Amino acid sequence: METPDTLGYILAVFQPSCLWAIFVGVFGGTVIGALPGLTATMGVALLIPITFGMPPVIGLNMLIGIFIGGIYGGCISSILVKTPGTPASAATVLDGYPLAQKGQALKALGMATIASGIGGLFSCVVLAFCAPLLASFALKFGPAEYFSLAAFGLAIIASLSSDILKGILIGCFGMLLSTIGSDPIGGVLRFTFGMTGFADGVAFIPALIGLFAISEVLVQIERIFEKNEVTVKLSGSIPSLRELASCWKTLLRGSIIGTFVGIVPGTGSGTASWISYSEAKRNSPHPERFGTGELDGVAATESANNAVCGGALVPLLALGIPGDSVTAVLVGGLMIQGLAPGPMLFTQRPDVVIGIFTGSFIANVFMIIIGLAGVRLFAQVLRIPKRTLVMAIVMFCVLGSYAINMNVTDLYTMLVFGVVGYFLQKYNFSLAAVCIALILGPIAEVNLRLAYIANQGDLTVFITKPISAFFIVLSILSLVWPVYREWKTGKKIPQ
Amino acid sequence: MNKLVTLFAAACAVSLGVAAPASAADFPQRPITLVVPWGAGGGSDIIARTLVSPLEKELGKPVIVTNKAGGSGTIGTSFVAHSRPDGYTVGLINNTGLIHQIHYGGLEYTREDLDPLCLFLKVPVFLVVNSASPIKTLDDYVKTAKEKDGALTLGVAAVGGGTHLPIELFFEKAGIKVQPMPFKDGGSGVLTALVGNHIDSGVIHPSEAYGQYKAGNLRVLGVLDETRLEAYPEIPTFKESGYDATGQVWRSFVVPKGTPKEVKDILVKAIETATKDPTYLETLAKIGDLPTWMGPEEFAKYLEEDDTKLLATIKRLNLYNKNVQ
Repeated sequence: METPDTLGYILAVFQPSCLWAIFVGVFGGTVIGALPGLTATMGVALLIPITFGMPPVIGLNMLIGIFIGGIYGGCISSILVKTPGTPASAATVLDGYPLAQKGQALKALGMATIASGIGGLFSCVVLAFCAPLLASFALKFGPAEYFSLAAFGLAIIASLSSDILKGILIGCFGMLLSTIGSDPIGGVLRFTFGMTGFADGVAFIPALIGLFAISEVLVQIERIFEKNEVTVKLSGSIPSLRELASCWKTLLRGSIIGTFVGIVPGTGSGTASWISYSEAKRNSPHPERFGTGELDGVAATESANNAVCGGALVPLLALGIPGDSVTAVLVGGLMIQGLAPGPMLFTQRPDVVIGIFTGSFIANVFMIIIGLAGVRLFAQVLRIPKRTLVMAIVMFCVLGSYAINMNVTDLYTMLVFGVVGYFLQKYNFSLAAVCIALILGPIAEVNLRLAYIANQGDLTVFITKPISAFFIVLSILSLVWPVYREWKTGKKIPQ
Repeated sequence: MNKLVTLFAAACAVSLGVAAPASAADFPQRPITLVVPWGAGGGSDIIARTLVSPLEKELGKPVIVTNKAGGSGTIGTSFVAHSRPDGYTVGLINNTGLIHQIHYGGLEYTREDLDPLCLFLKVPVFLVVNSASPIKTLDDYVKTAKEKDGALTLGVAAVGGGTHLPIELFFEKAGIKVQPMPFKDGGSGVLTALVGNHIDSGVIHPSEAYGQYKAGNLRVLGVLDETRLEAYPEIPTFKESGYDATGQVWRSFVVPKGTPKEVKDILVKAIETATKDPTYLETLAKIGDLPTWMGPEEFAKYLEEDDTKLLATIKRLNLYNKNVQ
C-alpha cells in the first residue's frame, strides 16, 4: 500500500488552487447548512455539474468541503434560533437553544464547532487508515440488521422522554405519520386523501422546520403579546480547555457512534446525532440536566453528525457504495469525473483516494477555523429584536421548505407541523420523539417487511443473525433502563 | 412630464410584449425553464445540467433547471402538463412519468396534456447476481426460479418502476415468477444488498454495476437491449439467449399540449444540436447512458408501442389503477 507516490499525492492537495477550492466548499457549505431547508445533500448536488471541468482531486474535495461544512453549518441556526438548518442538527436544538437563551450562545457555538471538528477528524483518521478493513462491515447490513438498528433508534424515545407513557404515545403518533404516502413495498398510496403532494409521504425537512422553528415562533409571538419578551444577553465565551476536557468521553463516544452510523449505508447524520445524544444522556452523572442547556448534549450531537462524513466516505471509496444520502449524490460527482465508484478505485486511482483523505482532513481544519472565527459574528443574530427576528425566521422557513422540492404541499406540511409542535410543547410532549419516529419509522417498516419477504415469513431471522440480535438486545435494554432507574431511585426522572 | 410619458409608453410596450403570444420567429424571448421531476444530483438532473450550456448556446437565452421532485416523477410532470403552452416550460421526463405512472392512476394529468418533442437517451438495464451465485446463465436463472417456486428474490428500485417492468417481460416469456424486493435507495441499495448477499438477484443500470462488475463481485446475466452494449461486448442480450424481452429506461423532452408547432420545431432543433455537444457526449460516456434520437412523430409512435407493450404486464402484476382511491 505504501508507495513513494503517497507523499506526492498528499502534497498535491496543498496546491493553492486545491486549498482554495476546499475553503470555498467549506464556507459555502456552512452557509447552506445554516439556512433551513438547504441541506448538505442539496448543496453537493447543485455543485456537481460545476466540478465537471475541474481536475478530480480539486472538484471532489470541493464537494467534500460542502458536505463537511453543510453538516456543521446546521448547528448555527439550531442553537441561535431553534431552527434546525439540516436534519443532522435537529438534536442540537435540545441543548444548544436553551444554552443560547441563557446567554451562553458563544459557549454552545464554540462547543459545536470544536465537537464537529473532533468528530470530523476522528472519522477521517478511521477513513484514511481502516477504510478497506471496515468497508466490508457495510455489506453485513441486510433488511434484518436495518430493522433491528432502527428499532434500537426508536427505543431511544423512551430514554429521551420525561414521561415514558407520553413518549411512547407521541412516538406512535410519529410512526403513524410516517405511514402516509406510497407503501414502500407495493407502492400503493396510503392516507394521502387524493393529494398527489403526499405521494412520497410527509416531507421530512418541512415537518422538522415546522415542529421546531414554527412552533417556537408561535411561542415567541405569545410572549410578545403577553409583553414578557425575554431579551437574550450575550455573555460568556467559547468553552475553556477545562470544559472541553470534561466532555472528552462524550466527544469520543459521539465520534465513534457517528463514524459507525456513517459506514452503515442508508442511515446518516440525523440518526447518528440522536443515538449519540441518548447515549450521552444515559451515561451522564446528571441526565436530568439534558434538555435544559447541557454542554455535553451539544458535544454529543455535533461530534456524531460530523463523524458521519468520514464514516460515509468509507464504503463509498472502498466499495463504491454510498454510506448516506450525501455520499449517494457524490457517486454522481465521481462518475462525472470519469471515476467509476467501486472496489477498484483504491488500486486504479490512488491519487484521487489519497487526495480525498487529505482533503477531508484539511476541510475539517478549515471548518474549525471558519467556525471559531465566526462564532461572535453568528451570535449577533440574537441582538436582532425578537419581533423582527421572528418574521425573518418565518420567511427563511417558508423559503427553505419550498426550496427542497418546489412543492406547495410542503408548505402546508410545515404550517400544520408548526401548530402541532406548538401544542405538543404546551402539553409537555417530546418533539424529539416525533422527529425520531419520522426518521426511523420508514426504515423500520420497509426493512421489517423486506426481511419478512426474503425469509418467507420466518421472523426468527432477527435473533439468529448476530448483528441483528445485538441491536434487539440493545433496544430491549434501552427500553428497560429508564424503568429500572425509576424503580431504583424510587422517583421519576425529571427532564 | 415628457419623461413620464416616455416612461409610461415604455411600460405599456413592455407589458404588451409580455402579454402578446410569442410569435414563432422570435422565440425564445426570455429564459426557458427546464423542469426535472426528480431531485438534484440524480440521473435526470445530471443530464439536464450538462445540457444547459449547449442548449443556451443554441437558443440564445438562459435555460434554468428546476427540480420538482416527488411522487415518482409525477409531480413535476403534472407541473409541465399544466404550464402555459408557450414553449418556455419544457420537461425532461422519462418513461415512468409518461407510461407507468399514468396506468397506476391517481394523477392530475394524462398523456393528452403533453406534446412529445423527442426521445434522446436510453439507460440500459442489467440482470445481475452475486458472482458467488450458482446461477451462471439466464437458463440457470429460469431453472432456479422454477425450483424455488416464486421465492427467488429480485432487488428492484421500485415495484412497477423503470427497471422492474422491463424485466417482468422476461419473466413472462420464461414463464417464471420471482419475488421483487424494492430498495428505497434505488440502484445503490440493490447493489449493496447484492454484493452483501442479502438477495438472489437484482436489476440495475450499467453505471451502477460497473465498479463491482469490473472487480469481479457481480455476474451480469444479460442486458435488456436490442443489441449488445459497446462497453460490455461480452454480455449477451436476452434475445440471444432465447427470451424475446427488451426494454430500458428512456428520457425525453415534452412540452404542454397546444404549444405552437413553430416553437416546438425550434426547441427540437436546438435539442438535436445540443445533444451532439462533445462535452455532453463525454459525460454520457462516463455515466454509461446511451445517446439516441427520435423526433416528435417517431417518438409519439414509439410511445404508443411501448405503452401497449407494458400495459399487459402492468395489468398482470395488478398494478393497473393501483393509486386510484
